[in-house]
Amino acid sequence: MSRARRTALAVVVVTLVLAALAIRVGPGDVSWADVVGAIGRGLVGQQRLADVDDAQVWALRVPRVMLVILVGAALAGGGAVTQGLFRNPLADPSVLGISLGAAFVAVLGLLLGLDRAGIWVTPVLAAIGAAATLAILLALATRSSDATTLLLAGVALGATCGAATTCVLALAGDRHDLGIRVVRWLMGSFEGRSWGHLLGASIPIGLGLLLSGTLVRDLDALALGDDVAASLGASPARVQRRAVTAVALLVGGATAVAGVLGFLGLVVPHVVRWRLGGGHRALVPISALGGAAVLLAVDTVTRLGATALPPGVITSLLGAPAFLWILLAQARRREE
Amino acid sequence: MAFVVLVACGAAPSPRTSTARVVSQVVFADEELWHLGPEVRSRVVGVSPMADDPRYSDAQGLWPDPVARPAGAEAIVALAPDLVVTAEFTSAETRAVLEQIGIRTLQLDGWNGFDDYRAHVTALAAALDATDAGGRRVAEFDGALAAMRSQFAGSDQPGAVSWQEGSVAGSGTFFADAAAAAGFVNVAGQAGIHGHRTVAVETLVAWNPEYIVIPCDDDCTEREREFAGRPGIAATRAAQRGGIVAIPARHLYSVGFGMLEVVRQLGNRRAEAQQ
Repeated sequence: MSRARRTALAVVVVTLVLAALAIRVGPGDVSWADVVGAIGRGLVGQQRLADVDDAQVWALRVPRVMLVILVGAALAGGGAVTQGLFRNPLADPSVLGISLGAAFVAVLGLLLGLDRAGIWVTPVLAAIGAAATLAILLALATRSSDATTLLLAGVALGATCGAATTCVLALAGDRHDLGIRVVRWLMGSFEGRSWGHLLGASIPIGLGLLLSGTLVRDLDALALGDDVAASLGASPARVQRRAVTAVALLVGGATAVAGVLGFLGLVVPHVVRWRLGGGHRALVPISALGGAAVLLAVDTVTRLGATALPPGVITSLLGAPAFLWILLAQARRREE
Repeated sequence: MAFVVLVACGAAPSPRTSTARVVSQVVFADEELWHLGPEVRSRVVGVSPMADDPRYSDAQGLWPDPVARPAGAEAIVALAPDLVVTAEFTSAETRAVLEQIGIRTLQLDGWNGFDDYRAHVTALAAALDATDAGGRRVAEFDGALAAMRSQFAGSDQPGAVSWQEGSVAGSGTFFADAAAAAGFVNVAGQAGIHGHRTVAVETLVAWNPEYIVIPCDDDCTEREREFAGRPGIAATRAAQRGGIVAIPARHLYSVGFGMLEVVRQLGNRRAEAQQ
């Protein structure tokens, strides 16, 4: 068995163990028997509607764990594709401006009070924002196949959306409740997410993961340079458009349901590349698996605290120093 | 416990002449200055920009247009006030400018329950040399509160949680006092939470309270229905037995007389459930 396969298997096992723990732990007195019973009843559609143990397990924890796995895979897998697209290990999915585009439309909805219509409203608005940003990016990618132009366009688009979000907040400066809601959403969280969120996210993220899977050979070819890629049958312009679409589906879907989660798309692919090399056939799927495991671990730890700490805060707080440490370790290795 | 800071600069003239032009920067003071009577009202030249916002204020529509709504130090200073009512949440820059210029400020700090309401009304009235009006206002509050305590007294004490987007009110909050006055146990306080803290939906579901109190604007019935159907919440006793209570935010988060409306609505819902 190859090193990549062994790593993938190990990450899958860790994720499954974490998932079981995440469903078992948390507030309330829910035993393993309660967990198994609630899941069994849920699977056959016979959950007890007025039973809080069933609600904890089947309505909150199971969909949350699955959503965390999906979002973690989306962000880290999207990060690996982004880094392959720009041939730069420091690229992050956020450089395309997708998450900030999603955030802007979501914040606009919060400003207008649309979120009061139901918990599905903000994710839908964020998805619209991500889709609109994708449309602009694709229009730009059609005009120019230069990766640098695309990267800078993404940065400019993100900056515009960020400024527009700040403008919305400034215009509603006297609405303290709005500020709280926006900050909470921007911090990134899985609080109160359930089956509806999971179903909504699974379509774009599933498509994004499938598309990413079809890109791995082309990204390997692209790493050798545009001319070599073209000679191997991978048109740089076409690869670019497909990669942008994949990243947008992954990051847009993840941001829509969970808010903005930083650093996962940068750090996880970086670690995988460091340990397994830069081949995208292993890098993309193992980054996705690793992202799922890391985010699940972070979310489970934050759920154990007395105060509900958003996992987005932890991923940013730990991601930055972890990234620095990796960079220093790599530099040391090169010097040796 | 309330802390009232009175910053006076220069020689202290008589209270009446030193408080001829009053500006409020606190919704609580916007409300109470009106209710301290016509003589006090005539000295108010500015109220906070949120005075007319129905989401936060019970003073909307009370203050006529000639009374300014200054926002920021420059606008306040332009009104040439000799007393500005501030709070700990008034911007530090504004407070610093007022202090540097030598404008007297009454800073109301500590918003942790009914005792703070009484202390702040008393301090406000004293700063305006309207001690008798302040006393009457506190007595009016206590009278209404005593009547409701008596009306809603009962042997059973159902559990209630105040919930806003994950933030709950524990002990040492206005909600804790309001819940107790209406005959409820504040579940978050009982769980050891002091002040306001963010907790997970899972925690709320695990507490399984009989009543969950949420804020609303003008869509309270719809908010109750929507909240009762949320994942996890739907299984709680509150959702199952009609115990989701949406109260207009200006009452639920009031630190003034609006708190009595919270007591009244909570008590009435409990009485309806017992019938």
